[in-house]
Amino acid sequence: MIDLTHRSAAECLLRLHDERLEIEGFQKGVPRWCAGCGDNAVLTAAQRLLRDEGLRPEKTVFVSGIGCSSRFPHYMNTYGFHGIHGRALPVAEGIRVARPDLNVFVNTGDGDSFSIGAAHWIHAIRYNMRMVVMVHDNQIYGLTKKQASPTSPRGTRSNTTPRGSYLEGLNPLTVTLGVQNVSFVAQAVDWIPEMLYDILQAAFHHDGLSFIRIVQRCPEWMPDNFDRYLHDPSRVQLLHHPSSLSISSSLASLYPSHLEHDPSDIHRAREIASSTDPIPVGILYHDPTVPRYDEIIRSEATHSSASVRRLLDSEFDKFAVTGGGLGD
Amino acid sequence: MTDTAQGTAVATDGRRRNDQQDRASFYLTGHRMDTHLGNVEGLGLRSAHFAPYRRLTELRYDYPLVLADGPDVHATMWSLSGLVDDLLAKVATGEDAGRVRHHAIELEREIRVRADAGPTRLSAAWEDAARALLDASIGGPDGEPDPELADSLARLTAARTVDGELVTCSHDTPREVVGHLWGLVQRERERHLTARVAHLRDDLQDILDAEQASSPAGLAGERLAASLGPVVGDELDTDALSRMLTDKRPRFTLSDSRRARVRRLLDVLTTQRFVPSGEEGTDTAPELYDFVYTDVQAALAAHRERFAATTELAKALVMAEMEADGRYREETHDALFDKWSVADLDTDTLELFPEYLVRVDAEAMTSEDSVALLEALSAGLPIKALVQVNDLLRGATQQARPAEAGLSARTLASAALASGESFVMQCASSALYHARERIVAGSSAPGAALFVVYSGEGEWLDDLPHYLAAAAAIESRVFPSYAYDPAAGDTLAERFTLGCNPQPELDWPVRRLTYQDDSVQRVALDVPFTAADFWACDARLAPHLALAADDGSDGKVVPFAEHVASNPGAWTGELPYVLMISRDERLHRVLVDRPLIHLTQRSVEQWHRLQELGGIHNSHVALELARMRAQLVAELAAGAAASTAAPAPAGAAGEGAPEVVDNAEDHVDEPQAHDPYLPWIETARCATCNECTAINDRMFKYNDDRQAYIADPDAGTYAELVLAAESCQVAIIHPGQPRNPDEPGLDELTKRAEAFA
Repeated sequence: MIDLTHRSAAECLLRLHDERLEIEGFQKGVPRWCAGCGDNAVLTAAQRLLRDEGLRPEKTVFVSGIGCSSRFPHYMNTYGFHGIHGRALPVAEGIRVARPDLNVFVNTGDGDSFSIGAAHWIHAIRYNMRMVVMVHDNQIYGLTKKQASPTSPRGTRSNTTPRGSYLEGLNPLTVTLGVQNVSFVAQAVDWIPEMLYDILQAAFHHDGLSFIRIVQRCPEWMPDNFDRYLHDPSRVQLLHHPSSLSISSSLASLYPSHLEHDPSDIHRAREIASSTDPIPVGILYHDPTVPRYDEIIRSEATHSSASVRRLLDSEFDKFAVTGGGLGD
Repeated sequence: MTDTAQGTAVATDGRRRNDQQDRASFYLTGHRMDTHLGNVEGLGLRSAHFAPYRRLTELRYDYPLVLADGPDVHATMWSLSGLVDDLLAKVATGEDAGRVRHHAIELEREIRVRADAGPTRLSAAWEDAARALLDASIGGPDGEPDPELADSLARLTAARTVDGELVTCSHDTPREVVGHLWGLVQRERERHLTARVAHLRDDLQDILDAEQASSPAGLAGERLAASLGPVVGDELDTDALSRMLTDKRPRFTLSDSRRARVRRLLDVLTTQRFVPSGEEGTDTAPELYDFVYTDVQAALAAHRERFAATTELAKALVMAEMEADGRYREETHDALFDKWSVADLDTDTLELFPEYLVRVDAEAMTSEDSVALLEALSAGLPIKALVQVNDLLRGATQQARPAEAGLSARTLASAALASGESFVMQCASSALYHARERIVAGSSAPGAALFVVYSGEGEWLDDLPHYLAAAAAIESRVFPSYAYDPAAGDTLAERFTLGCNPQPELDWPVRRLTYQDDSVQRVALDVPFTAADFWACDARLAPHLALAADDGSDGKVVPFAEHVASNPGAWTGELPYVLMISRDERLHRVLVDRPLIHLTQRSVEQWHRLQELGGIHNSHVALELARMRAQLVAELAAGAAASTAAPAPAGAAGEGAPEVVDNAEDHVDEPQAHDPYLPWIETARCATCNECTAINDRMFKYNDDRQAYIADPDAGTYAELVLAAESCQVAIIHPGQPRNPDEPGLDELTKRAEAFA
């Protein structure tokens, strides 16, 4: 079929004034995260993506909720919205609908997303609006100085669970993969920057909601939490497939455990997602054909200027005095 | 031997001689010297291959077609039989599947009868047919229709979701089908352009509105009062509010040049006549251009005439997009767009615009038309041309071709095919259903496209249905179907396809004929469907045919295909025949003369050329195969000779053998060897956690990807290096050996550093 969507001539002419930014151009202020925090790695990966994709600051927005991770927009020299607790996704969805020309990114944490914001999380997956959702999962509430979060492993001692938490932590990947209309699910770890970047890039190019769980170290409140993965590379399993990511040879030699996984296979994705040791890293599920709610509601039938005018006219007509007249 | 007997023998000899002359004369020239070679006129002869298809309405075949409503171009064309089969797959599943199937076929036949009667929609014909079937089934004392039939029909009706025009195979079919498919593609194209124009208009209007809203006029007291409505009334001093909003506040204003430019662009987008500009129902909307023509030159003239408008709109689209995006820079772009000309319209830009459809009869084209069309095709103008052929004989012989006429359609297609730059499709109307995706591909392909379709029309074909005539033209290779799509790939193999010609590896497809002989025995024969079988149905060629005598008194006769294969050229005493049936369903051998043989030979030669293009019996391939075979035979012979001779020295054995490939595993990037004395960082693994840079930001720096490296090992102490290594979250800093032997506490530091060696 004909492809009528590209706009080559305009693009070529615009290149004449290509104001490409380097990483520093996307940096704003000095991050207040603790030294050694995994959030820094996510910040760098996002800035690299913006630079490499040539995204313009005024066409990009980072939305967040509350938590350490949610300080993210403060450090990005783009539009940003530091929202309220658990509500990053509804804000982002509003932006997506009102400003379809913006590139929308969401940064949220395990507490923000899976506890107070759990309802929004589930429905955002189902609505599948185009955006990249990065969940910085450090398995603890860090900003408020150590309370157990929904993903804290059983036995985590914290201010709210001084005898160790009683419940098994939530697996956000299997839950997400269980929601209708899910279209992109990946898992990254902050300490493999190459994979983190590759996954983020694939997520950015996905035409729908991309959900990335980023396993993130918190050296301050959970210093040993991920040591077993950090110190034993064989417990990190890299996912690869011709239709998804490939692994560079240097990475392959560092992390010996690999698994070929076709991301279109949701059953296998659920199986792999349920593994916590080894921890899978890569794209678990990808289906580009899932319909997007932001596209559905912006369809021509209801939202063209002509149709809006027609609707308004028909409303106004109810108040108009028509026909008849005294003369008849 | 008596005189009488002798006289008879002489007379018989003379008769034979006369016979021979008569036969030779018929064969060589088509003239009959005597009358005993049977005249075929009035017998209503048609090829024996048509015998099974006498009653076409009772057969299930592609026609009638259903041109379904709806915008999906790939799901718009159905054959009635295919549709019924589809419904049966859904409905006829239980124990009563057989019964439903039986009723469905009856219904299909009734619909086919109604479609043949005149143009109608599927739903109307369907209801009518169902009612007729039910009425016919009323019997018995209760006067009710057959309940089983009613049930089957109700289920089929409920399952049917498709509706649309029913199209039978007739003179107008190629026009209707190509027009319909092209129309859907065109509507999709127009929809995109309409949306884009409307979207850009809104964006440009927003720019003007934004300025207006924040201008003193936009913030004037009355305007503010009007926007607040009567509820607030006098409680608010809107003039004071206006002063507050306008005094000493920065205002958003457009530069005069930008405002003028935006207005000009809006004007172009509003007055363009290619697609509706979004102002529905207003009287001021400009009249839209027409894109459907029945004259090649008129379409080309319209295209030329609108070229300036096309350029202007294309330019406006690009400029408006940049303007809406706030990225139009006068200092650069003004100069560029001033020079914008026709040459800047590339195919990408033109693809957005509506295209032209020309539907014309080949017989009505003048030579100027042919030339203009060929020019348009090779220039890649956005024109899709349907050339409908009704008379195949017209191009086939010089005699049948009027002097002022243009190229024959077949020549037109061949010429376009040879130029190789545009989409070309040739087929007959019987195959339109199978060619639907190709028609869609041609309609959506960038640039020009040519569809040449044979309709099966013509009074010389007597009462032969269009469908059969068209199918016979393909079968007999007189009008083979093929398609050439330059967008399908780079090579001929990808671009050219022989379409739906049956048994393409043969000169003529072979069909089995079954008939009953004089002794009421069933006889089956494999008979090729030759070009003569097709031409023999043409009443204008009747003088070239003669009926062979049943008793064999016509001397030696051979099947047509055999005769042509032996290619005698001169008179050899044998006459070729084809099998034909007369109106009373009797089989006849019909003799064929040499001019008709020449006609068929030309189509066979053309078919051979097409076969080569399609990769069948390709002469280049054959030559290459022969060369390789000879090489292989030579190599085998040499090998055999060598094995019988003394064993060759080891060094010579490798000669000619494939080069030894280095099978070593792919080299994994080994970490670069590092000087154990120098500190280093595995930069690619750095997680940018700021630990090391917080310790010493002159010693540790970030690269362009914000990953750490050691910028200057002497910019800090060994203690800082070791501390950084220890605090690195991913343990990728290697401190090396101390560089300053006088640094205090080196012993302890060296010990701590050992873990990171």
